[in-house]
Amino acid sequence: MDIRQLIRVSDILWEIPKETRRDMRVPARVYASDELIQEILRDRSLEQLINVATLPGILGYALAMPDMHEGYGFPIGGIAAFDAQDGVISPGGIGYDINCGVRLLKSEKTHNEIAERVGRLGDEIYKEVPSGVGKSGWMRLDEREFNHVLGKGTPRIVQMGYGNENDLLRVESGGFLNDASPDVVSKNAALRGRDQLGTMGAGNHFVEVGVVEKIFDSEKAAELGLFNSQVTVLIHTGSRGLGHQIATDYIKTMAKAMPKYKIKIPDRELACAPFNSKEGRDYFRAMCAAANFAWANRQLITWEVRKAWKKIFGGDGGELEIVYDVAHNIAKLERYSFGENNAEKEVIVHRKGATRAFPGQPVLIPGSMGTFSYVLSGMKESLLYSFGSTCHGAGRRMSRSYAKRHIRGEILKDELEERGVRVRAGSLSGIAEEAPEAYKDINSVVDVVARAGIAKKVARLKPIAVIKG
Amino acid sequence: MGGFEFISHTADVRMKISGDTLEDLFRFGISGIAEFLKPGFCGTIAGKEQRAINLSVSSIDKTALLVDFLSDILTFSHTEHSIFCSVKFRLLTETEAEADVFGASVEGFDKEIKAVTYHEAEIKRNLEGGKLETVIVFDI
Repeated sequence: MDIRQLIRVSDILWEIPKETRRDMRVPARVYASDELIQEILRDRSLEQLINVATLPGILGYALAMPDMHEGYGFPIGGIAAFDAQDGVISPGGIGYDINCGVRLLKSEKTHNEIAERVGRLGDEIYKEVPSGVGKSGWMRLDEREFNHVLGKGTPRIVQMGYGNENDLLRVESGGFLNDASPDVVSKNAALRGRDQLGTMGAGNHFVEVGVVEKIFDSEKAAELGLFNSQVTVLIHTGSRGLGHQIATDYIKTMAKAMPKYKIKIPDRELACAPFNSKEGRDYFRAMCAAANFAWANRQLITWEVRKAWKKIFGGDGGELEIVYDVAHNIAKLERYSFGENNAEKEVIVHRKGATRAFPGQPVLIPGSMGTFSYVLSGMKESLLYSFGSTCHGAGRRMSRSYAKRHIRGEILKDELEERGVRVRAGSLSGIAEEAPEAYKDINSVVDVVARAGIAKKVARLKPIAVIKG
Repeated sequence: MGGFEFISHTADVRMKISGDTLEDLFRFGISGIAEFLKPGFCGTIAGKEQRAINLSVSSIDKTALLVDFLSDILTFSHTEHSIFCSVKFRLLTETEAEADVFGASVEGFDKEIKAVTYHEAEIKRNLEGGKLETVIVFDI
């Protein structure tokens, strides 16, 4: 793709007209600065966005956020809404790691109050939260109990004693989607997930101890209970092997089903089915089950982190409370107005590497390892411009193999420690793959969504300890 | 004869497979997955495989068949805590595969593959040497 094929709508918004390709049903729009659009043009993510614009029942625009990069089918950083009556649902528009997401915990402590014990806290979290490739958790559930978790997500984990009722008030969708049905989750998916509750995984998943480094909106920060130098904990993980298998299962199912619905697609990873078909509904219910698993996972990791915190700080440490928990790979049934008459329609919003940003809702944007993360607040313009959505993180710009060839994990670890970021990781090559320079600049990404009016900055967090698999 | 090699990709891993026959692509695909999950493992168990699984896959075309087959290999690697190294086909057409796959148990993998994707997969005959080839992208 060439920048000459893009129409500049504003300083931070670009459009690919519907006429660009004959099979596009709607235009595509990308939120990006001049600098970020040049990075975006280096991979095939814009072609992927054009492909999304060809899918049946798509409404408005095929959208992308400034952290967009090439994915499978849909680009990562992509948002698309389909008519729930006669549009499709596509697993590629959610991603393999269903409900990969972020949870932020806040403490009552300041950095100075805990500075001497940060290293020990990092060690204790590393001990308590199972991490690394294929690592199993300690929780063992029989089939009936496991299905209960798939059905009820966070509330079930809290009911089992691993949290409190207040936790449920601060998780997107209350930590579970009611449409979940374990009956449409394959035996293989259940087997892959059964022993992985309470585990972080590997790759770009992490637990990060941080400090509120800057407050942008003091009123909203106070409402969220955030203050300067406050110690926080960020948890980033998803549905582990269960979600991966559900996505795999249903992409295969839909690929076989598409001929009977006379659906043709430009990319196999866009396999889809009408939302109102058996295949579409079964996938949605399985996706909801995986989403519930991921929320349960982050709840159990919260319990493990609280345990580590208590071990290091005892009663003096106070409590770790949830600020919020967001999903950034998910599909939701929502209602939006369209057309001159502002007619309201129910749509299935696909967010793949994109976060819900409803007005007043906290939005958590993790940066790459060792860099800032942000707390934002959704604005009402998000409902007009982006189906209530915003970005999800920094977005990769360098391949893992390139990063491993050019960055030494042990040197990076030392550099981070010199900057005051303690690193506890299972793998030095894993650290290299996640080096900050492998990602776009998070500050630039967040600036764009703030300038677009989609979400406003509330606070910026600086890491002081990173725990990875 | 052909083989597999891993090449660069922004977020994940691309494996290029080539072979004289369709069956070759399947064999090298299985080897490639095994080598990624646990480098060198298949060499240590050659002739001593203790695990066997029976796979039966049908798909809309030969590319989808290969991806779906390798996807099932990955699934069983996870659910059986095993690495699979060799295969014996009872049936292989462009839309169906029935095979026995052999390997051994492992304590864990060195690296993770979340999924075998269809991204960039398209079996074609290489114009230069006449071999069949495709890229398979792993979501890691």
